[in-house]
Amino acid sequence: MIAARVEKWDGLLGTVHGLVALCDTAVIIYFLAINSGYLVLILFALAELVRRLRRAPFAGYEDAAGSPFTPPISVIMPAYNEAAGITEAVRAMLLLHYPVFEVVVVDDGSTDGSLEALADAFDLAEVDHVVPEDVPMRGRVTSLHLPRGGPVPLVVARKDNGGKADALNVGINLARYPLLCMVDADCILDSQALLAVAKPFSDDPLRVVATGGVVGIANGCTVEAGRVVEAHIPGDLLGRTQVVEYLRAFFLGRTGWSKVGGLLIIAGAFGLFRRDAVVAVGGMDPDCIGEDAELVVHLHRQLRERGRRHRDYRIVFVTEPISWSEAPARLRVLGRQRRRWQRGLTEILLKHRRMIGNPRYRRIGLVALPFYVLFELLAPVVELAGLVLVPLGVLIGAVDADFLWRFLLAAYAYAMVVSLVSVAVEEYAYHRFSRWRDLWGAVVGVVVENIGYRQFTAWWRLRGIWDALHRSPQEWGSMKRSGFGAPEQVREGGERH
Amino acid sequence: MARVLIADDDADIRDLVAFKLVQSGHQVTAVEDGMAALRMVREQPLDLLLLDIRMPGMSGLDVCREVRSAPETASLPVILITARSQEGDIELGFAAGADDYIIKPFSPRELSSRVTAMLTRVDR
Amino acid sequence: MINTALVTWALLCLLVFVLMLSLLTVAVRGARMYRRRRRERIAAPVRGLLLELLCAAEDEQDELLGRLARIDKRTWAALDPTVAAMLGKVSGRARSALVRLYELRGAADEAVARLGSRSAARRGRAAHVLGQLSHRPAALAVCRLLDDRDRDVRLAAARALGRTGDPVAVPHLLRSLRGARTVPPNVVTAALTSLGRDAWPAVAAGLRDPEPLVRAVAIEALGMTGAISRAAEVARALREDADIEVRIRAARALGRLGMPDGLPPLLAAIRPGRPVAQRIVAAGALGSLGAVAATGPLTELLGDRNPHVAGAAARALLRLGPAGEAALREAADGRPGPAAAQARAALAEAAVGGARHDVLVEVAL
Repeated sequence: MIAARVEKWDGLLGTVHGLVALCDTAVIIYFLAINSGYLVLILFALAELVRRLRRAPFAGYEDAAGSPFTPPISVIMPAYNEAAGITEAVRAMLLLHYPVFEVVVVDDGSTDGSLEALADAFDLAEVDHVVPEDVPMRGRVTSLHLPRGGPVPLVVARKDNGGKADALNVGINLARYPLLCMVDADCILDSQALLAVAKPFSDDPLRVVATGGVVGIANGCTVEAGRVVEAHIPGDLLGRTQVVEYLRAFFLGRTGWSKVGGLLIIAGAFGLFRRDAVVAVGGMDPDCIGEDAELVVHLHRQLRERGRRHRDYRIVFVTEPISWSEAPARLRVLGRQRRRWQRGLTEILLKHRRMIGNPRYRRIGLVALPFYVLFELLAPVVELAGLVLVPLGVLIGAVDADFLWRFLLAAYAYAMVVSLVSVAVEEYAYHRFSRWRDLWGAVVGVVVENIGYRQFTAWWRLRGIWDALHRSPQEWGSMKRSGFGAPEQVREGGERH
Repeated sequence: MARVLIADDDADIRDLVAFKLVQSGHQVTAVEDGMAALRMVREQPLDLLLLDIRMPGMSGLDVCREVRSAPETASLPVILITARSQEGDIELGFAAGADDYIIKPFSPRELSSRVTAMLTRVDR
Repeated sequence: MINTALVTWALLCLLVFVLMLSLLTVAVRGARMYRRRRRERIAAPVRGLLLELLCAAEDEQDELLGRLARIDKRTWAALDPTVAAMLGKVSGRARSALVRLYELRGAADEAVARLGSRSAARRGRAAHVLGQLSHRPAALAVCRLLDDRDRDVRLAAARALGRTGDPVAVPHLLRSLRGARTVPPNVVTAALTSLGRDAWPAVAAGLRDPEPLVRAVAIEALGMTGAISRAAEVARALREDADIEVRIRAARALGRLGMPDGLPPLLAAIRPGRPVAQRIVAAGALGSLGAVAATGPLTELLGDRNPHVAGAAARALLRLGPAGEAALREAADGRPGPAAAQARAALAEAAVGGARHDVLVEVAL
């Protein structure tokens, strides 16, 4: 009787043993695969960058800046309680280098006097208005304001509060130019930014429907009058880590995706779209927390479904220009930001789950979306499972401890190689960070990212997935801002990049 | 001889303008951004400002507005430099209180004669 | 399971990689900084000479040109980026001096030779250089690149042709709009436009092309360059062309040309039942035309079901002068409804001085 029980117990233990060993192997393979995936993307990106650099001398930038054929742009800037920085942001926006553009500010029912600040600075007058309803709006436009007597191409709309996506939709309806540039009020654009993101539209006007630009981290940079005059890598660990992460995932990762025609996410902080394409998908989805990413997936979906004539389209990531936004400088804020991003991603993948693995959507369905499910959506789950299962495996003897620590070291070294390749590629292509100190900062960031940072964000991202599955209420990302006034200063933000 | 300040972020333009104006017998100070230009205006006596509109940081328009708002510099002649394509800039420039403008690409001779014309007008 | 020795070996390899990458990054930066300093050092003594050339009076230019043309290869290589940059920054005599300098240094001949290079980047650059120098004799050679297998090279060639100023390129540019290796229409239009009136006869030939895109581009270029002698042909295109894109271009061009020929077809083009994009553009064109005769038909559009059509009509009325404004006031004070709202919005914009005249148009080109 006792012997039988022991035997049964042994059998159970054996099964657990085997299971844990199996899981650990899976975690190990996953770790290799995710880093190899990124490495491949970075190599694609490198090929693309080499090509672009070689062709830059005859790309015709000076032509675009002076040509009457450069398509006009409506810059849409949604704002909610941004009184501290809105005036400075709009002024900087109006001074961008671009032949014809307008700035449409949509005040989403701010309660902090944002509108009054703008009215003061730009001498605004309220005018009667008609808002076309090309895409559905929830909040009503209560008033429209134009600058008095001047040639300043600015329109300010005030509407009832309805969230960022709804504010963008109002902007889309008010915009009168064929290209829409959606920017965050707290994001700093380089003066050539519009020229660069609009370039693919002039070079390939029949196919390009959207372009996205690089988003850099403004922490530590010298900012003067709404422009980054000198880029630096911030001095704190969290900042450095995020700079390296942005380089790898957002700069090179997206360049790589763009090269293979699978770009799925365009930074909400800075993207350019054909207005008619955006109207055709009904604008932004106000029920989606990552409305910017959702828009791109939706565009892909709609353009693939809409018959042969439209199947040949391009969504391009532009490597040259940069927009800068403030990254969280405190762990708690970072955590909240990642939680919101992950929630957005989960919601999008759920909403468009029919596309995943569907050959009808070609590379998007067969490659890009499965990659996102496997390596973006599930990454925090696997990361945390690994953190529990691998030590457990050693504890119950399912995995050899000696093998394990060697393997862990090798795995981290691999992740470091991937990040270092990104740093090297950036140095080769654009070398934005001019001081030697910045290079060292990047190396420190590479080390820290893998030890602690990833695990920390994984926890918050897991909570983001939970939120998405349980549909907790969403809000206008709670952000603390102090405005752009003084140079060299840090604010905290949390927008999607 | 007049004291002229040129502010432009483009080193080629700065050097060229400085060279031409020195050749015409003026005393030239060159700076590369708006902040520096404003500092110069406040620190030393000048007869004319040449400001690029689109500079990183503080723009030429901002500098122009600041110059106009301070009583001691309010009558300082300002010539703005703007790119051909940015039509609105000219209107914005006059609204900010500029006296004249020069469009890039420009001919150094034309620049020099505009500067001279402006200075004689002020003298009269 | 993977064995331990393999992992150890991989770990060592990776560490070597980490080290190599770090060194590589540092080396890339070091080399770049060294090259820049070296270039500046070499170019410094002749930079003054270049500035002197740019500021020189006509009679002094030759001597300076001679001296700059004789500087050795190494120094020239260091100075070249500055010369190239200056080419886009100066105009008038300073610019022509730079072009002559390039020609004395043999840059144009070199570029012509490179048009046949096997490297796409070289071909593109050569075309670009010839455009910058407005090197007319090379126009036909550059035309051949309009059919290049590389897209970027085709674009560079089209842009360069606009600057060479030789209308011989027109048929080639129009032909590059169709077929497997194409140049985008806006680039072709820009090139045709910068060729100016010399190109009119050849561009007008494109109005009869079977390909709609060619007709559309030809019309747009004629409108942009103010080819008023072709207004009748453009008006016919708006009346008769089967392709919507062509008609939209024709409507816009008629607005720009400002000839009375444009009025009847534009009035016909804004009627209900026509495609919305065409109606919007035509309404805007009637505004640019400024003919008082358009007041009535435009006023009718104020209540149009499509708010963009109505908005375009309201803003066009503003540009018709007192008659248009009176019509708007009447509509604004009339029966409350969409028409009155549109009229009030346009009047309010005009009152603050910030009328948004540009009309929203999205066309596939």
